[in-house]
Amino acid sequence: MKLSTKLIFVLVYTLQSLYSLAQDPMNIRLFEEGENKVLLKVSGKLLDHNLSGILILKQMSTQEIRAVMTMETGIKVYDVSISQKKMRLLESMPAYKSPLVKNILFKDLALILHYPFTNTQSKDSKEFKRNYEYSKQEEFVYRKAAYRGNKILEYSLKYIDSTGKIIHLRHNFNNIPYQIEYWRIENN
Amino acid sequence: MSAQFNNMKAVADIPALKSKLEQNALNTENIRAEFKQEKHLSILEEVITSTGTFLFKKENKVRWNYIQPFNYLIIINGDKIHINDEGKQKSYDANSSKMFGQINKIVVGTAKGTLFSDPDYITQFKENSNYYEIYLVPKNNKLRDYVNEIYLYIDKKDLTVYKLKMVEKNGDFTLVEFLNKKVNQAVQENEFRIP
Repeated sequence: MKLSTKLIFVLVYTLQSLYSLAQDPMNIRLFEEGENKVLLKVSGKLLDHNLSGILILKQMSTQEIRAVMTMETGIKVYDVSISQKKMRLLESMPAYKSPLVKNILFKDLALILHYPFTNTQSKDSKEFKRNYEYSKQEEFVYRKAAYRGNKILEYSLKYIDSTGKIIHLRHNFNNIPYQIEYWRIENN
Repeated sequence: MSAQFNNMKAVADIPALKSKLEQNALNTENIRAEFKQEKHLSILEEVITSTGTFLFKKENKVRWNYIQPFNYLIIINGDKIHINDEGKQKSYDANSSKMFGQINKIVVGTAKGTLFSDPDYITQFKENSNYYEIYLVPKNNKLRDYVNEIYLYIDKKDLTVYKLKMVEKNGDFTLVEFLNKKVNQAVQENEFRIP
């Protein structure tokens, strides 16, 4: 093989690899590049109570994310400050002041937030004093699961588009009668 | 708020205004309108906008249909509340939840334009050349956890509610503007049917 042919082959291979990395679906993200907020439609159920509305997640600084949920009618459901290791309920409807419900809410928000990872292997991480495992389930579906030992406590299935943007989240809490889903709201 | 609500002055003859609004409410059988709702949050520079249609029929029937950014329908029919969240349907007894009961009261009272006569609120009346401003503060502390202050702007031309502003304790607020209002035109009873 001539040197020039080899060089062309190497160049094409390198360009393909770079393209593949840029398109790597494992590089999934909640916030769009250059954006510091995301709006999600919420639909869920806790016991017999339906929950629905809009969740706004806003990166306030490198240290803090705020999570504010409102009902469709505009009435605020909760406002939570999330720092690197802990969450604080700033205001909420009375139901969320119960320690049990607040605890579920915090676990739920921890599942939404996404620790970036870029390889195809499962990755363990410690966030908010819990052990999470990130893994690929199938094409365009990833999972963030909270573990105790080998047991899954709760998990979030993250559905992404071809660019890696999260478009839908479905959460499951094994031992708690709480199911909730989130859909990205575009262009509001 | 926009300049159209500038130069508000206290209403001189409050009993006369109340009587005029109550008489108008008596003559209002139904109202159909479009609405634009804006949520103003201190953490966001932008407002979150929703749009849809609104229908009120005497005595206590309301159909509040959100179309953007997604479909969401609330039907209030007397003491019953029905919600259709993109196909997921649920019906409630308005009295089963204090919060729903209060929201029901605010929505129906706003549609009728008679929320000012509710004894659960402290009221103040102002006006400029085009609008009446009715300022309401819930007496109940628990209700103030959801809505700390309410402003109703009533159009002097037709005495219907033009804007509703609900302010929370931290200053965040929801602004609902009613557009293309049609009063006392044909309304089908099945528009308020609860499945």
